[in-house]
Amino acid sequence: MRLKRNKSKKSLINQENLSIENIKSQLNHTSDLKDREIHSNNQIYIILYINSLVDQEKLESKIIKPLIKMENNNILNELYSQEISTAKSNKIAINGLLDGYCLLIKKGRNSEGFLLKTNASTDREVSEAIIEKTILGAKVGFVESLDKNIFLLRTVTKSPDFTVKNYTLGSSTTTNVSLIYLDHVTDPEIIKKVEQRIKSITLDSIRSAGDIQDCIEDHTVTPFPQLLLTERPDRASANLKDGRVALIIDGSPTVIILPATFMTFFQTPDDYITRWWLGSFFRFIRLFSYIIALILPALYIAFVSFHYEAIPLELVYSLQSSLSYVPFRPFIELMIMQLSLELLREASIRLPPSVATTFGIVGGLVVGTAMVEAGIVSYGGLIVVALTSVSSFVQPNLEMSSSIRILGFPLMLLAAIFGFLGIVVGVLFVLIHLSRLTSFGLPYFSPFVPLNMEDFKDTIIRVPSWMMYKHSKNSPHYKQEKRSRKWKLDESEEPY
Amino acid sequence: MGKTELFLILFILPLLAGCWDERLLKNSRTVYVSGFDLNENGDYQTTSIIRDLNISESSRGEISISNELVTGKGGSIKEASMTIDQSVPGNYDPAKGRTLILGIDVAKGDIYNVMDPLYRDPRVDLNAKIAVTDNSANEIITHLSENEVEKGEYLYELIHSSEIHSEIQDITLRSIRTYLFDEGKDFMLPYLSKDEEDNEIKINGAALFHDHSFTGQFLSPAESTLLLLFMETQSKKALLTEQLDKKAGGSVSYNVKSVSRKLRLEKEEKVHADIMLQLDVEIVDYPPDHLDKQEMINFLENRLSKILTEKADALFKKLAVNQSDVLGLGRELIAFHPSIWKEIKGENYYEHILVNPKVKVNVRSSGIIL
Repeated sequence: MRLKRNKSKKSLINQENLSIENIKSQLNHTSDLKDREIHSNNQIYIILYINSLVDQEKLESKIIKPLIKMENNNILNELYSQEISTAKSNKIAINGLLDGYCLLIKKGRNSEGFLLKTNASTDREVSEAIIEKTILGAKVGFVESLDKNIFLLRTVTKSPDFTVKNYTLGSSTTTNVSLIYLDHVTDPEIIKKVEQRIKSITLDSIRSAGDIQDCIEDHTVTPFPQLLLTERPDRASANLKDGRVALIIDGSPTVIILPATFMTFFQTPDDYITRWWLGSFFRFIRLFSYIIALILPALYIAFVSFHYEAIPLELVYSLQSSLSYVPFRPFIELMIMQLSLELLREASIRLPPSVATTFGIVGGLVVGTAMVEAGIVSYGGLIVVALTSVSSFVQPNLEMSSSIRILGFPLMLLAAIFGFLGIVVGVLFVLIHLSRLTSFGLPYFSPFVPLNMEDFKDTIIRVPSWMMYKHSKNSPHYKQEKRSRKWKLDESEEPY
Repeated sequence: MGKTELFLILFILPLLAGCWDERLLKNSRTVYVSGFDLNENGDYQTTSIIRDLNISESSRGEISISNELVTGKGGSIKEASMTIDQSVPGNYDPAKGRTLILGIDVAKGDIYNVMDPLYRDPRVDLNAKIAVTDNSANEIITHLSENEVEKGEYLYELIHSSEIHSEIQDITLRSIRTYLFDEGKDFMLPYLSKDEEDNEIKINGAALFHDHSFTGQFLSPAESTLLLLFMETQSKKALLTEQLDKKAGGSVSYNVKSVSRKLRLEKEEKVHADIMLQLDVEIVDYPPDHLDKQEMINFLENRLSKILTEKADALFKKLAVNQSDVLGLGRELIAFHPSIWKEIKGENYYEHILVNPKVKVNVRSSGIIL
């Protein structure tokens, strides 16, 4: 909820000369804006800072103390601040103050001030990634601080190509956003596009990664996410090495990776840590479960209301025996189950872990079996819905698994009206839609449409890393990895 | 026209068609065996077993399954099934019928009269097996519904296992149609009968068909196997047993591993079909053994070749009597000797064909003895 804006908005951005009074009035004489006069070396210095954003100790020991003891007039040599910049306008000064800098002004020479870094940090300690869990991968996850996140990303991506570009977004409240890519690896065309799109954002304020996603994604009318949101530095780093771009938003532990293709959402760090057979198997299971989650409810409806001659005889009888006292049509039956499952899912997110176990038993087991025994749904329906939700949980990406949930309902409706024909038309429609999607100009359904055999090495199966070439042709490492197993040739030539 | 309007029209049009052919599983009464009979005044009688679910009111969820025997009469097969539909709750649905039984009266007439409504129904299981009975189909199905052991897919499995043992030709509702409309080929169907002593249903052999109708004669399983070997359509298992004289050790059982057939058709006074059949066999039961000796092998090969040639002679005489061209010699003539076919073609073309079979047995394996 947003409160009604004050219409008589002052012009925050003006280029007039630095003046303390001006700054104070532009910050509405807020109570935590403090100033202090210091007399030193026959000079009067004024320090202006926002009390709540500044680390008191840093300010005292590194700015005020040396300033008082200062013997000559060369400020820049005496102060212990690691970052000093000159502020020439009110706008720069105010932005600095809001970032936790303090403004040092020599009285009498109002036109020049220095911004000194004294910001306090209340960063959370780096902790384990919660949503995207892995078995063998790194445990660390992103936190809410921009600097720390860049730090995390840099430690796993040591390269001179690692490039950071900072942007400040938002017109009334500002948020710092960093664009990160590996130069020479990433297609310059993509970087240009991303920069252009980020610069065009004119929102009042950026609340989360979602705001940026909404503004820069290619297509908004689609259930498929075109940007990958991740909380794992290793995943972000792997994508950087593949020639993608990362966007880190200050205050958000979620990092945006772009451009993402359909298959990006099926990759996990575990695929590359385990041996390639296993990695390929997991990848295959994930794709399979995606299809299951998408069409299983629709298939069930089509089977029991149109094409039961296609199921084996004994299964017909067991399905029939459980269906015969369900008063609803299969579509309504599944909708009841799916909706109650969505309720359970939503409820479980907000619950504290201590209650969650009880909730799981009551919600899942008791309600499930009671619904069957009361004759509201059949066993077949229950199995289908349970399998569908398990399959959707297999997806490593939350956004992608939500897309199945949204797509599942229209497919169910089509199956209820037209049977198999409806499913075929529905799935075709989804495929056509996928083929038409783009992410930053790149085809979204990439290795499939347009067909690119080279990229299949990391799609349905994951080939061993020495067989995989770099994704981008600009990469200097292109084809180098093929030599990684040359030792085998050398060894075999050795005489026994 | 805008994109949205086009989309709306495409979306609404299929709904406007109004053909919602939904058939809910819970409303259907699925049939798993159907039989067709013809009574004296020319009416068809359909007998089916329907799986019925009885939900007891007292304890919820307790479901007992029972078999319900339903019969219907009518001037056509469709009318007969309509009469059944009127007598059962829900929809009478023959889609799951995996076995069709033809009563002897139906089989002796034109069996296509019964098949026609089945081919018109897109939901009928085309892999259904067809069998002929020596009595009325009604009797067999009544017996099935009463006998607890022979429920479910008993009949289907019975026929299927016979096919695996190369005792009957593999024929389904789908494949029989090609035989029915092939002028140069006939077929045989499993011949069922109720064994009064054991009180169970057995396959007695293969009923020989000529054109669209049953000839009344049937082959024993052994004869049928031999015929299937001549057709080169035996399954993986084709077990035969021959009686040898006492001195040679009673009897020998062998499994045919592979077959090669040479067929030569010549027109003289009649059309002569010389068939040379080479069988590679594996001995599976021969107590006197000594199969490691070449003389023993030679002896067996000679004896078996002689016996089988005699049997084949008798078999083809039987086929000639019944005019049943199961071997498909007519088709062979059409394909490779159209000039001969032109002379003899007609309904009874088989009269003009004289088959001269010759069997050569090669013992390839003496079986495994531990």
